[in-house]
Amino acid sequence: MDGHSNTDNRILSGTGVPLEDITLEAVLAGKIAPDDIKISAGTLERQSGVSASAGRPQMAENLLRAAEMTKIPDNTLLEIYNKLRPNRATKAELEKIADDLGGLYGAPRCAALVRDALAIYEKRGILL
Amino acid sequence: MPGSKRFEILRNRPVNKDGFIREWPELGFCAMRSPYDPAPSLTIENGKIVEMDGKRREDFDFIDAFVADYAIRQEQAGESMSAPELGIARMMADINVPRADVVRMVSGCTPAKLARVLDYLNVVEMMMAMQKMRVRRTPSTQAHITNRKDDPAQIAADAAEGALRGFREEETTVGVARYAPLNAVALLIGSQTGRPGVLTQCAVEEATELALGIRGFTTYAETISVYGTERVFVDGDDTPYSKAFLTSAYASRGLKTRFTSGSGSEVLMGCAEQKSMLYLEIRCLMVTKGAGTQGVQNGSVSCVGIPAAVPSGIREILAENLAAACLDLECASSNDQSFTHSDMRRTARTMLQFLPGTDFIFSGYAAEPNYDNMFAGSNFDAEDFDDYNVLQRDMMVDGGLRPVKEEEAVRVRQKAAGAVQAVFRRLGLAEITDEQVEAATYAHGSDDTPERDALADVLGADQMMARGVTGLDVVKALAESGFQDIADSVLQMLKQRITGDYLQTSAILDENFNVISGVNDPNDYQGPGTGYRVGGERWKEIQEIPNLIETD
Repeated sequence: MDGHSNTDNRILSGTGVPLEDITLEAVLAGKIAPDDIKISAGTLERQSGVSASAGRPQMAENLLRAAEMTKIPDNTLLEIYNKLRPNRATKAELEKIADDLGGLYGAPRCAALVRDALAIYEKRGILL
Repeated sequence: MPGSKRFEILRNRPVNKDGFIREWPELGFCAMRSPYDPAPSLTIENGKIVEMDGKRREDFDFIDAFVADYAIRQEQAGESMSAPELGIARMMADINVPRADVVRMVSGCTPAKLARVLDYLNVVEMMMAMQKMRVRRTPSTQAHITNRKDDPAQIAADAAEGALRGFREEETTVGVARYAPLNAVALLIGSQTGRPGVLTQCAVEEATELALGIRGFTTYAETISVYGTERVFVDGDDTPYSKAFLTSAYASRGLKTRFTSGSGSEVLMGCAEQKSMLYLEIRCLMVTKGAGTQGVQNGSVSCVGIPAAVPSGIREILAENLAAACLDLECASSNDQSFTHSDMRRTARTMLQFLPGTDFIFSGYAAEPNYDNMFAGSNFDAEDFDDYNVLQRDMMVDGGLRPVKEEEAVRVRQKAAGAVQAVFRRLGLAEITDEQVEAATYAHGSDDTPERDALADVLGADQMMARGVTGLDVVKALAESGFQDIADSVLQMLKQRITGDYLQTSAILDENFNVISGVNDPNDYQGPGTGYRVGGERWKEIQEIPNLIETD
């Protein structure tokens, strides 16, 4: 993807709008909604591949977690983030979050991160 | 004994107003190596790290656990941990060893191992290494854009002039927290007015910062802080796991992030666990690496007074930056908070990043006078612009800035202040008067501008957030006010979050919105004749300072 530019017409927004259709005229005509200015899971997966090829597996993994999160609403993401802060959640709450991520949202990588957090939080005494 | 006149003069030199202390490892006042730093070690059993740097897995704190499970490349660890530290240090400084070999070697090191490696290098060797190890071939730099009044017209004007001068990233923050959306919008508009493609951020509390990003008022986030000891991390109200989740959340909305760390924070917060500043910072960097964010702002940053007070402390700051680069992270290398009364000392400190070049030499050059810098003052400010330009010219170094003409700076300042005035009107925010636009255009700082009605501003900001205004509304307001070109640039910036190319390591944008990153502009330095060289149009630009004797 060397030199890959933002005019690449294969790219669709998270809502499926082709990038080249997002123009000033379309914005002024009210045809573009805020949700149209979001990245798609597919694009994040492709960028993850670029990171992996560049020898950055941790970054590739982060972008795959991000791809999973495209389906999760803004407020839910913020709530989960806050629950992952120290002394904010009970064991049962984090278990429920991990289950929802793995099941409801189809986000197994995010679920695994929460489960890893839960295990060490319990050991370190930073659960409610 | 009568007092020596010479010693009296020396006592009154600015440098003697600075604070210095002896090493005191028990409290963490120790730059590169504490007698209490662990010896490097690593044991892997059945694909799991069961012991690291002298600690068994059952004794791991959450930083150890995260570093062991997410950061260290197990398949590389055997070679890396058995290699002599001096040998790895020599690889870093040796022009004949490609960057990729060093990255691979460091990817299997534990924090204690990397700390010992770096302690073998003197500052010149570290600069040699940094020249090779920074991720992006082309160096650049970042500005702080703030003022004491949170005056949006001045923010826009300073952002425009800053962009014109060459900053590729601009960061604002607030005097009053509720101003955040206004400052973010003023910065977004001003930056694109001066020179398109500048990335912008607003440093505020984590959840607010994310909300501003999702709205499209900012284009990246940087203040995602991590710490080197568990207790300080908890005091900072986060963990490596919450930060990893947060960085993925940003990426899921197409937003670039970088973490923030830096030596001295653990000392300042009273819990350094007797470890050296460098060792603790490497733990931060490995958390950053493990979380998979593309980069970091480090080099002590806002705690610079601590390393600067101890022996080898300024060397330690460069070692931190180099550690980030060797971990293949974008490094915005501080030169941020002011730390000394001595002009000589502050310039010398900056040369360590300026001469080799880093991804962002400053992670906050005050593009306003320091009295307006709401990050507590930067090491260089707007009054140093010409000195900086001359340093670039003297040494034929690309420090990321360029000389500009007064009339050109005034023109973009006026346009930016006028554009933000128009957008505020369209969005129903507190009036920006013609007098305020005029003042911001010609001002040096907020001493030269009229007062704002702070209450009206924060109420406007609250209402704007409540009404669900987004970056698209800013685009519309600009276009409908006759600022089509700025509207188009802001829209182009918003579109970056759909393509995601600027999520890759060390990404900046040129003025045509082309992404320049470690993927398509990788650093290929391997000695004289290779890597980034100042030349061509860029060298001509650097040479053309305003203060030249005309010889015709």
